[in-house]
Amino acid sequence: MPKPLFQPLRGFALLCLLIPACNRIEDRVEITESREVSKFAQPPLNGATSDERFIPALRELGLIDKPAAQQAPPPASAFREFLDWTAPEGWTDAGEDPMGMRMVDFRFGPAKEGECYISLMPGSAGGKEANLNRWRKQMGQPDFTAEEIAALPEKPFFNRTGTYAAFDGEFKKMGAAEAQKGYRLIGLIHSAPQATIFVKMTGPKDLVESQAAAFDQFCQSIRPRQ
Amino acid sequence: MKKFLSPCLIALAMLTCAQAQQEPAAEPAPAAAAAPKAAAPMPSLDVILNPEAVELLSSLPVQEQGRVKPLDTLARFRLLRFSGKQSGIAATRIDEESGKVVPIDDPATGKPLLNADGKPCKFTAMEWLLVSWFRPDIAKELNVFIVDNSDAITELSLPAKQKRDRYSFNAVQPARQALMEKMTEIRAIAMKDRTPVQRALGKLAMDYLEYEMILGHFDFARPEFTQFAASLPPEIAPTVKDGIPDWAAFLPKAAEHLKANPQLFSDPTSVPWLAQVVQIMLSAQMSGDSESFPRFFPPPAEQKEVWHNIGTIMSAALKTNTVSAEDAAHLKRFEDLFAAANSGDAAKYIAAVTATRDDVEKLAAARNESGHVAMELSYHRFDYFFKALLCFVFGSICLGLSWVSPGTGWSKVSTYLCVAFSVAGATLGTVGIVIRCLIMERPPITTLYETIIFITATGVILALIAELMTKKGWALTVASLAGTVGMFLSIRFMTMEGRDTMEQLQAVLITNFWLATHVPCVNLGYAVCMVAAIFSAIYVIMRVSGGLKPGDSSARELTRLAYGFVMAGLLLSLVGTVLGGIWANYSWGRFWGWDPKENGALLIVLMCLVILHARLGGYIREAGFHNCTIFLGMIVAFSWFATNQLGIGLHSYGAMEGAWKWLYIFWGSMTVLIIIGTALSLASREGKQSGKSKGRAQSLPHDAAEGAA
Amino acid sequence: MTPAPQPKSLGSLVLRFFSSFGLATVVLALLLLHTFLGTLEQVDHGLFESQKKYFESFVVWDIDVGCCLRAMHIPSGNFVMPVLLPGGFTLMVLLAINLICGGIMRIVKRLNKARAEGVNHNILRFTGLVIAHGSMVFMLLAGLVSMYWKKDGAAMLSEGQTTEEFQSFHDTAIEIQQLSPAPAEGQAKVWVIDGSLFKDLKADAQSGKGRTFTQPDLPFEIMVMNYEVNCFPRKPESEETKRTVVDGYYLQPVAESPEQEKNIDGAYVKITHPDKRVETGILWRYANGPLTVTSGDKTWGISLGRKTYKLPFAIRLDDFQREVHPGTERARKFTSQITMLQDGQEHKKIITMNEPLRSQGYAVFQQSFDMSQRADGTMAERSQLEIVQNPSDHWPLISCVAVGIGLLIQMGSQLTRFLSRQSLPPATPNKAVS
Repeated sequence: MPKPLFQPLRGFALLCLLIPACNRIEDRVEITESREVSKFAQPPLNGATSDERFIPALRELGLIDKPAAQQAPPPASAFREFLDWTAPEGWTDAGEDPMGMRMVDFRFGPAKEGECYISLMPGSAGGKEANLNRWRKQMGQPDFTAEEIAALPEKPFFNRTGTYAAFDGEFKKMGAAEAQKGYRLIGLIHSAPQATIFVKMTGPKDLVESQAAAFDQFCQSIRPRQ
Repeated sequence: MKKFLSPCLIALAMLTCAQAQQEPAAEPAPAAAAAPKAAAPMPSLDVILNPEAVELLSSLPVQEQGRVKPLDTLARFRLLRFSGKQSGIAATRIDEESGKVVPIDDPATGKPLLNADGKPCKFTAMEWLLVSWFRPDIAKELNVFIVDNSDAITELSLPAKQKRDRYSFNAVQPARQALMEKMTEIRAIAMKDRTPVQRALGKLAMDYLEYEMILGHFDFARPEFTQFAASLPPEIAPTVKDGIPDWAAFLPKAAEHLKANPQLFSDPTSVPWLAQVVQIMLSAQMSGDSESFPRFFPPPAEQKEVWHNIGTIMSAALKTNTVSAEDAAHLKRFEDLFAAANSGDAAKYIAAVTATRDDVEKLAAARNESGHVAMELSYHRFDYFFKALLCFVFGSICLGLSWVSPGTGWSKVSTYLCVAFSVAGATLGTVGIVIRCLIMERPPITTLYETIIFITATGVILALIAELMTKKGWALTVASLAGTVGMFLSIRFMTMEGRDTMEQLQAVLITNFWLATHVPCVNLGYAVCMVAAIFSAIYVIMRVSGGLKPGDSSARELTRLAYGFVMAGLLLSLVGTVLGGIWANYSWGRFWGWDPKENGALLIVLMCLVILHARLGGYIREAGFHNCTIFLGMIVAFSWFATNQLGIGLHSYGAMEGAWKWLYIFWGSMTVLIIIGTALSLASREGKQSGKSKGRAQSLPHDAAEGAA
Repeated sequence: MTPAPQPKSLGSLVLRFFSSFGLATVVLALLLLHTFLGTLEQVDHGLFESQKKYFESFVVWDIDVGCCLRAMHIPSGNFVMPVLLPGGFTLMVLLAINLICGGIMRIVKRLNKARAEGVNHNILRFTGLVIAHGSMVFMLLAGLVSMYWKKDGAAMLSEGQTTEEFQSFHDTAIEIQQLSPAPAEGQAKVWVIDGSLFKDLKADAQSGKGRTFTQPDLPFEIMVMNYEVNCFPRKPESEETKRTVVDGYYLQPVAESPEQEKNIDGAYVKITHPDKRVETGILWRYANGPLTVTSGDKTWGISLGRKTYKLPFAIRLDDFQREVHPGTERARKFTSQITMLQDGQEHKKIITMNEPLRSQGYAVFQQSFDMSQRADGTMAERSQLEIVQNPSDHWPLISCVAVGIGLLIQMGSQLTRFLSRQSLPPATPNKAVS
């Protein structure tokens, strides 16, 4: 007959209860530990201000913007050197997209929750309709009908015109688990057989509406680099 | 992978973009644009697949992934990744009307493509590579891209075939844009969050792009510049003859032109001829990932050990403005090779191949970097592990036959045959492992793949030794079973990984002493524990089927065997684990880092100890012991595979998709066995209540009972 | 095992409990469980946290079931199951006691008994077991020694740079050093407040609570408050903020990273001068310089950082070389050519992967390297050396060899008996085993 394991377990539980709590530290402690300063050690900065102490590391960590003079030149991406643009005020460049999908990527809004980016795809990239409906899907909306698409306004863009779409929905970011409610998307597509260029802005509805003018102005500013 | 995707995609996307832009410009003369392709010479397959030439090129040394290997190996693993098999790419298609398999038509002649016997061609990996190089028009018709999920094809609005089927380059071609677009989308999703369709699309996109480069490898020697004759800058134009540049002269001039027009650097694709240069250069590199470039040309002795290929020579020339004499010779070599292949003269072709191979071999030998090309070639050709699998399968069949009529002469013969097959399988496996060691000049285990073949081979050998000692047939069953499953797993694993199984090691691992002690020791521990688990699985299955009664001599025999293996597993795992700790301590100053793989080994040690002590204490008996041993098998599977899939720690090599599915299948079936075993042990406990004191230690090995007393 | 039941003394009961196979089984099974869970929880919580929770703890209070399932690729929400289990440390102590009481004592006792009864037992077998159990105890002891007395850290050196110190990987300390007038060479001294004395002062735990540190040689008292494991100094965006703003900054806490090395800790300090003058400051590990405190004509620097340890010798990095497999980024070899400086003597040494420098109880390993941009824009390589001082450095090796020998002896004797029994005609089971 196999022995029950109960006996040792009981002893065990008892033991667990006996384990003492950690010691508390007094509120006043005398410093007793010390070490010699090495002759090879760099002498620390004397009299540095808070700015001098914190700013270099904060900059290194990317927590604050680098001053213009020190700002590194934008990464030599083929895309970025292909186009030129003027960023609206209050938009911050989110830097190179690690996925290489967004050529230029901006954030705006109080918590930088708004996004606006340009992407370029070779060829017609499936055409205007497919891409508009891809956006619809991302916002949890039914596809546009052909009439709706035909009714979409055109705006001047990239020396030609682009199809402009704006609608609300629940924004589901690629790979995100849950959709964010009360979002708005504004987008402009110029589709040609050679290439298709997209500008897309997403964010909470109010925020996006407040930036709609900035979006237009940004789209206007996009031009091939000379 | 990521590294591969980014530059490759951007470069190609840009190029297509530029080409598309450029095409309307050429519209006034549409015939001119189409002409060069049609005019390109199309050698017959008889010439380019001349057996002698294929043989010579198979053994051409090439540097890839930091290692010098035969070109054959490279072709095999490229094809394996694309198509899920290493050879046997048939030049056939399904006829739409009749639904029959018919040979594909030779695009040059319009006639069906047949071999000398009048049957459809079936290409080996090396032949496929040569067809892709010299007859891309045929290669584009071959069904090389395996798609695991036909929904991926449907998503591209292409006609899907079977659920899992192969597609040709031309079949995917119409959806190229859609595919690239999907790829950009998919890349934004983390690997583990991708759906099977997304994974299939991602793989197809990558394979497609890479195959496009392979097909264009010899574009540098094709008249691709005919249409740019007028647009070439005047100083460059004279270096292009009949649409083919004289690269040694062309490249320095192009480099100077670039230097004089720096704005071109930012957007080389804006100038069509320059875009063409870039595309030819990329194709000549044959991969988007510089680590996977096949590098054909050993540099002069005093230079760094990175070999060159046509693409790297071109990019270097554009940077440095010069083409060295060696590089010019290399360019000439491949131009000659291409010209000879297209001459239609087999003798000329063989001569060119021989010259190229001899030159490369000589240069490699001068650098002492010849590798073990001949050995590796024969290793892959012999396919040791597939043959071992066949042996084990035959062995298993013989074993099954021996059970048909136990005790007869027939059964004896079958058993002997099974032993013979198992020994042959184990020998083949061992020889295969030894050859791998010789090629890599390294102890046997450095990758997850190698653990599978090592564990299988050693497991079988150990089981055979146990059979030699017991002669009861149990261990023989385990040997056949372990051999079959293990070798099958190794082949499946190689296919799933789809890359060269002989990899170069990271710096920290390069120490032959520890690779020869700790690693085999731990893996032997895995093997031994797995064998024990199989014994126990057999026990439970036999109990259920009524072939065994608890406590009878066969049951005790099985228990003793399993117990012996658990003990050996304890010794090997414990010593192996501690050795690993010592390695870590002597190499990077910490004995134990709670790394997943280390913990995995510790789990095995602890489980063996739990079994040992629970048994000594009398908490488990026969059935309970076997349950625990099956659980040990589950733990081994966790340590062996799952720890690598967690994506953390030092040992997170060998992560792959699909591993979890297999793990859960294994764990699920083992759990079923444990549940059955538990039911059995409960049932037998009821029946044994009366004979309690006498039967308690009945089936325990001698010392176990003694220790408990 | 089944003598007539008789009253037992408490002592023998305790001894029986601690030497039982049952305890061994339970402890080992729990260790198994902890190792398993501790491995899985690393995926979300990082190595350091799960190591602390499962392996170096007295008690385990909860299991993050959700995380474990996710690690095993089973989709699941967040579910933390409260439990009360002995922690890894407790288990290992119990295991050691069990090994000593159960393993060794029982075997020795039985050996004596066997001798007394004149039964022919194979002494080798017991020897094997004694060795195996004894060396396991020794290995656990090695673990304990290294847990408490091992010092490990790293020194980052650019070519030409010399150091005789290294920074701990995990231990934090606040250091106070006189900056001006600079003390004479060899007399400069740094006062050190070990992290264990202020790491409990987290803002959320005891809001506003601080601890005062005094030292007769220092002309002020230092109160440390609101220690944050991961934070950064930030300028308040509006006038109103609940946080203490010092010199235009407050410490903004951030979520702790599972990778302990990535956390940047910080704290507030309040300096009280003898004249009751009080000033507040922010300490942050990545700060470019110490907080400067002036008292009379002297200034002092207070900084928070990784604890600094001193080597008995100095190391100068002469050259760092990095080799890769040709045509790849895969590292083949990192090598640091260094000069060891001690007592005015210089020794050239080479440290490379798997080949550390060992001297005077310290081992210096090649850990990694980094590239940084020099002022002139060229890239400079820096070599990171890992430095370890572990009193039980070689104990596991000794223990491993002993365990191996012990188990081999044990298994050898078992195998001999197994084989000898094979050749015998089948005996009745009971006779063979009891």
